[in-house]
Amino acid sequence: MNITLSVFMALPEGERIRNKPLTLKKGSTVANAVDLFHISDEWVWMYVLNHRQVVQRKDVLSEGDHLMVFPPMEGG
Amino acid sequence: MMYGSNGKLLRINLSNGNITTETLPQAFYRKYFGGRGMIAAILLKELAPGIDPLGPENKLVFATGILSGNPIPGTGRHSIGAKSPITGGYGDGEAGGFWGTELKRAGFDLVIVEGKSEVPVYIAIKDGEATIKNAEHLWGKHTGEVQQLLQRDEGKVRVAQIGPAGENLVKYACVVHDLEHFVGRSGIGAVMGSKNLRAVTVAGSKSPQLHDSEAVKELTRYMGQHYQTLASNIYENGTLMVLPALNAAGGLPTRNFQEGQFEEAEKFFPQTVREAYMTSRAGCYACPIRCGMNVKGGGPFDVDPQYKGPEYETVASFGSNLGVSDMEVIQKANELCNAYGLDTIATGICLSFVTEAFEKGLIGTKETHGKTLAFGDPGFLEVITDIAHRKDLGAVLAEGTRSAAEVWGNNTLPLAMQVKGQEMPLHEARLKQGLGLGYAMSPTGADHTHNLHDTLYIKETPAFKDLQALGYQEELLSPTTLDEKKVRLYHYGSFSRYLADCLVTCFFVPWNVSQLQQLIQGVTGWNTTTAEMMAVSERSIVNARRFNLREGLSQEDDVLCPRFHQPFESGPLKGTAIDEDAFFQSRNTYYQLMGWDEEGVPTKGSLARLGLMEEE
Repeated sequence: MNITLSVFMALPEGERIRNKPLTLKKGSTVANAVDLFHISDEWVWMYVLNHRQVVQRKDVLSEGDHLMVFPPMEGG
Repeated sequence: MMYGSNGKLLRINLSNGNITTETLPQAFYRKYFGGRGMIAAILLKELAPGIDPLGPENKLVFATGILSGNPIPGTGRHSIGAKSPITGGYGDGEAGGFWGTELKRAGFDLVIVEGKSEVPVYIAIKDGEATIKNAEHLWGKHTGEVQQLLQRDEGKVRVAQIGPAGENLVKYACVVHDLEHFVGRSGIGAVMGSKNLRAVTVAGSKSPQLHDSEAVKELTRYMGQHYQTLASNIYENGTLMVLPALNAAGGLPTRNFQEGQFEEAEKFFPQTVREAYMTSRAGCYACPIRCGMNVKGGGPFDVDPQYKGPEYETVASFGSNLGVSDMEVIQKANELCNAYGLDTIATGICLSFVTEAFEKGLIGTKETHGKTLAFGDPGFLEVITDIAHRKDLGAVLAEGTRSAAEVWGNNTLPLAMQVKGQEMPLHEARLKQGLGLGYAMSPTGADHTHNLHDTLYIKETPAFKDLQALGYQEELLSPTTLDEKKVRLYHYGSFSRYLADCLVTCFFVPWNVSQLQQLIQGVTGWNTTTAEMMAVSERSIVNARRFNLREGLSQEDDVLCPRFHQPFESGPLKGTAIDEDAFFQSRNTYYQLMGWDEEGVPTKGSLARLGLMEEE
């Protein structure tokens, strides 16, 4: 199963994940995707699928999904 | 000896042409730090109660801060304040860029402009000297042309100017700095126009002396090495960083705040916009983050790139909140506002207000002077020009939404997204309910900058840890709650923002409280504490409050527009609203927490605690 991952923050070592293609086993969850990069839930405000659906770590991903990870943030 | 500042105030009277320099005591700097702290104290002391905001008795105060003028990231800002023609109370706004730094290097920390010139003028400040010069040749011209003319005539200078909107006293006219940084809120551009003051140019060549330049350099080096990680989102995406998240959460203002999710929001996602339009980064003095955008220009609307790219507020204001999905239209709206000198927030909110009123049949073509308005229709671009020139529909909208609703009646007032007359920034209070309390409590009306953004404090972020350093020791809270705990979070969160406004620093540069203390010590030599910083912040809130109370504002003005008390009918926040009883209870709790009486008046005890009794 192929998905795309975007993380709107730098990881602790400075790594950035933007529109990164990922291949996961069928039935993989949000947690399975973000755990590959050791993204702690403590840094996250929302996991969002396909730009507008807020999901939880336990939710199952589908082929072609775009998973976005947003940190807590303020005003622009 | 005073380190880090010049200790000098430049006073210019445009009625009689007098120009004087005054020396300020170090105690004044330590008590207020700068920016809104100093502006509130000065306006409270120097303005007579009840004056006309657009009369010669009003004063413009340009203020830097104790850290300004030095190559420290986040300090290239300045504030301008006056009695606001929008709210009738305390008004101010801040801009980034280079103007404030240049003023400090020209030998002044503050400038007060008073009176009114008989003819259009501009003020040229250069290395300790100021001159009033004729500006009749500049009057009526777009800001881009005036910028070029002033740089031709004055050399390498930084320019703060109004545009035609300020000349025409549009209530929400802004002050444009070098065409890309704006004091947008509170109608400061209209006050400048009322004085026949088109521009203030500055040029300076001498930085203030630092107490410990090595300590300051070390901190600056640290930020230079770590900003890409500490401020990764704003660095990569600019202020548009918030748009995808707000849309997903259901808090992206859409069609005059009727909805919270825009069906074509993807077109405004930061990477999409940056890849399509950005040519290079734009930024402020000494800041490596450079969150702004230089853009290509051109396109179907022949966008002029000298006015730069739009920020989040502008994209949401002319995009989702007007139902517009075409980035070219938004860029044109941005260009027009910057060329005319209009606040993009207030202009967009006026347009979304009139569009909703028209679509709902509360007004007709008689009120719109024959214009047919619809969400998603780029025809609103013509109305921007009419607002700047006070023509037809633009003449009514130039006074703001509250005033227009009073003119039109027919139950249009509930559609006016404003607090105290100041139009709403593009941040949804039903998603961030502490921010909603902040809109009501802000001395300048609806304002998102010195406010709490609840969504920043839902995890133990560095910002949350900063509040802990200031004294906040509660648990993490949901953004969609409003209760006593949230009031306490708002109290500390807003204190940290008012502190930044007194230091005139940018909150996108992630200095923590400890680093700010070290910077203050390195620049000034003061051994400051968090208690002192909190007191400075609180003085700025209390003095602005006292100013407003003196001008007749009251508890009755500490309210929200009714839409925020109505639940969303669809989207992720369907059914969510700010409960009215919870809001008023929270307001009372905030008064008590601040040491104010039940009507929101600071008590003598709270004034004494802050050392403000002598200014009674």
